[in-house]
Amino acid sequence: MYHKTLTVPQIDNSTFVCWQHCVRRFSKTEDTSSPFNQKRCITWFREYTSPDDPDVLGPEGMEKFCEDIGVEPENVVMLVLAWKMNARQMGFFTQQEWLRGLMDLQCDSISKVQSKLDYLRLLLNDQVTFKSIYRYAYDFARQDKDQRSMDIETAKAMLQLLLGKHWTLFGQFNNFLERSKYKVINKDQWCNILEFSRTIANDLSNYDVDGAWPVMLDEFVEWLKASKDVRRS
Amino acid sequence: MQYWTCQCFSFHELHFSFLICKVYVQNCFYSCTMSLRPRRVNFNEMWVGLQETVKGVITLDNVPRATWNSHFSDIYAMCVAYPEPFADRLYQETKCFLDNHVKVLLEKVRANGEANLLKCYHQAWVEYSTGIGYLHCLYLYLNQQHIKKQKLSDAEVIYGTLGPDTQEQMEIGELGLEIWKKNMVEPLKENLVNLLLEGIHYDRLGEASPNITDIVQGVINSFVSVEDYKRKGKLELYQEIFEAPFLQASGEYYKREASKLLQECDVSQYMERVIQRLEEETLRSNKFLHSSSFDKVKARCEQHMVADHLAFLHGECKAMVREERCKDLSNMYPLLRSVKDGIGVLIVELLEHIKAQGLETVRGLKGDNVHIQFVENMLSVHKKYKELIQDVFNGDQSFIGALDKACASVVNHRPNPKMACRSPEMLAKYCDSLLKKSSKGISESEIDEKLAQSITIFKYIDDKDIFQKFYARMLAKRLIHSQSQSMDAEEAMINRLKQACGYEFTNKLHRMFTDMSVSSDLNNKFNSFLKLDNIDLGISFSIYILQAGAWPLGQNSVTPFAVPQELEKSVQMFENFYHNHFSGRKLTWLHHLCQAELKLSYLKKPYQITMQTFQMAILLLFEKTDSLTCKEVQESLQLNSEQFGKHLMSLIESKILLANTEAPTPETVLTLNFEYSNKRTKFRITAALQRESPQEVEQTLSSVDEDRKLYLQAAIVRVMKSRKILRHNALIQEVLSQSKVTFAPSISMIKKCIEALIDKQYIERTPNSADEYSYVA
Repeated sequence: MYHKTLTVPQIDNSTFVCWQHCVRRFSKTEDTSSPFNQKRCITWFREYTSPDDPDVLGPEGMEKFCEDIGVEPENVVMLVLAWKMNARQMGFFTQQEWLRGLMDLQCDSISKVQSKLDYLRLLLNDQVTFKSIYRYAYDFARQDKDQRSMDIETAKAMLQLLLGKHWTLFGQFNNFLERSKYKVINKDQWCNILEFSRTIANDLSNYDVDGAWPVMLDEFVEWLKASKDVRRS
Repeated sequence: MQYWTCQCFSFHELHFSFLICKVYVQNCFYSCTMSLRPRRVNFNEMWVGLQETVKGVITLDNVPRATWNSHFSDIYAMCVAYPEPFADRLYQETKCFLDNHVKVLLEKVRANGEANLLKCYHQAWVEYSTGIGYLHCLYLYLNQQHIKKQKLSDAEVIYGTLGPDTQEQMEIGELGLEIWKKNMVEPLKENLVNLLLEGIHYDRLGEASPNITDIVQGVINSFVSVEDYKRKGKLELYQEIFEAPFLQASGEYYKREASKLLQECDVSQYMERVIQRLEEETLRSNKFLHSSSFDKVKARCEQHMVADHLAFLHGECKAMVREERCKDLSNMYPLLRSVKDGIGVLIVELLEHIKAQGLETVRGLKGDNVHIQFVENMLSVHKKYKELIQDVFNGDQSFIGALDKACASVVNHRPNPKMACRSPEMLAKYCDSLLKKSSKGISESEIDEKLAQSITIFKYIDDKDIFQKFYARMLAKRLIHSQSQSMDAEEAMINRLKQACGYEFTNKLHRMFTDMSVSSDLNNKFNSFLKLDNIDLGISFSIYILQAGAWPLGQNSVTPFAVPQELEKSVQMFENFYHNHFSGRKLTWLHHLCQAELKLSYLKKPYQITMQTFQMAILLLFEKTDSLTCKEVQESLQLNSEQFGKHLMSLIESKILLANTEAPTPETVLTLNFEYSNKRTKFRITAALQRESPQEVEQTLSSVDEDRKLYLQAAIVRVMKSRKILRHNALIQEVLSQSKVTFAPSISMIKKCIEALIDKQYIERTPNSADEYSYVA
């Protein structure tokens, strides 16, 4: 997965499945039942790296890898895969990370990885795992590793990817961020957005403005309530 | 003989004190001729005679002393009879006798008809109760030696479980009362009670006949007396047959009266009548009832005449408070206070009223002395309502609380929600005007009193830290420019603030003060040092040394300045002197705040003018020449444009210098005005230094915001460090309570500070809880 300007295309499942089938038909048939072989895994890794930098898979290698396994770089499955690898930087895999992740998945070939894609996607359905992936996404997607916070554009894109489908209020939150003065999001705010999406009702009836929520969310609620009143009147 | 003596003194245990008994027994003691040995007794024979006497005693007949004595000892004989004592038999026979006696009495009482029932009952009761008392004495021996010994202990009665057929024997006095209760009261109770209620009702209407009072009281009392000996449930009969129906009937009466009054009267009259009724009922209760009923009657009356009509009374409160109808309010107060949830509405109305009045007096104040008007108007409002509460509501604490809330809300009111409240600034100005030297002829004691009163307003201010900042600035100005009226007054005021707010608050103010006295000390040392070394500075020179941390003078207000030649030596000398005394300290000269006295000798008259140092520096340049351009002057002195312009203008305006253009430009030529004259030869010119410019005010307010954020963050870290883990709400509460001495932070501000600290990694959220923080070591 690489990221120049992250515009997230909305691909729904049916399109994806079709795509997946196409890729499978044309990929090399490999034996998916053979046991995991570390050497083979590393050899496969090398297909995506260049001689100048043999230990790091960069944006070009990433593009090829995604093509091979038949997944768009912006697909959320790539995030899950990165999480499995505990990859530090979006768009890059080190050999160590590659090995870590694929060993855990017991995959050393394209077809094996393809067979695991559904499994990876299902991981998002588990509350606890999702939370872990969500939190990981913050550090992973952060552009400037020297700063502690994530710029707002990246944040909006990542939130779209992770929460866009299941959180009703996401669209509103996106609007709010656009109109607000916030240029960055810190980790505390990031984590609390997830909690908010999970615990607060759509009509905001159970939100306690004096509670421990970050001020950004207080402002979001205020903004939302005000805009509702405007609409009503 | 000794045996009898013992018996005599146990009379204290009897319910009825009868001198007669005592006398009789003592007579026995003296004239006893009987033997005390147990002997054979013919009960039936003895009983015949005894019974006659019993009858006589119970009917208050004349029983001769001798007869009494002899039957007294008969009882003794029966009780110690040999071979078997007849005590139980005696008891049974007596019981039987009394039983019949009362039954006969009942018929007698009934015989006289309904109308006379009360009277007859009362009469019978008086006779019987007296008689039974005597009888109790007669049966002394039986009571003491036989019955008492069998009695269950108090503890067993009160705490133990007695079966229904615990038929223990009672002392004769008690037995008599028990029998009266069973045979007389029980059958008659309904009729009696009806008549009693009727009697009291007539009393209420004011139609009672005079002697009925005693009868009614006596009859009611009989219900109490009849169970008085009981160790448990002494008032059961009274409460059951009389008190309950009485309270019910009284309740109905009050209900009707209340309805009637409400139709006839307005609220003022209604309240007066209700209060009157309450008083009357208290007297009536005293007259007729047992003391345990007093409160119940009062409560019933309050219930039906006040509590049931609370809505009506509450509805009147608003107008009453607004019009300040003191008489009505002082009636309303005790009535509402007596019922549950009664007084709250009145307190709220008063609060709103005071608030409205307060806001009215401080709205739209104009003029130069807005600050004085503000404070004095507030104080007069406060005083007025404090007195009102004292008079009308008896100084009730809840009302004082309402006054405080109302005043606080007026004092902290923001006419424009976006702008900060101006009260702290105004109060500081008010104090400043009192502490400054002024030409107004207010006496010292009056100033003292006004300053003391200003603390009342101070306590209501939320943003006390803003007040402190303004006060400190104004104090600094007063001290530096020697404008204080009296150092004692200054110190007294600082002490008052310390009392209200604590040491932290006034710490800097105190330090400013000490700097003044230390400086004067230092000046003396400096002068002696000069004398010692015979150094002549050519000018007289005095210094204030100020601790940079304590004085709100702002390091950034120091502007560049080339010290005039005339001052150089002094400045240098002093710096040397100071650094010799205190090594490691940095001195920063605040020339822009200093002043000088300059003597002008080039005019017709010599003038001595007090002026700012910068002004003097400008004029000193004209020592050797009569005219200079602005550019030359500014360059020599290295003043920035703002300072130069300000001070130059003041010299031009005072006509000491002349300029050849309207507005000064670098090329403008300045010349000394040789025609200058002034009525006074000794005076001062001031630049526009003294007044608070709006920028200064803005600066103060925004620096306060920064200070507050730091304060809150420090407080949060302190709390978290000691508590290690704390829930969100608890943390907020801790911080609020710690900071409320200086200002009232908003929860939103505290939250922002918490977030800043999370970001700086001083604290973090605990992993598994939504609203808990932990300290990061």
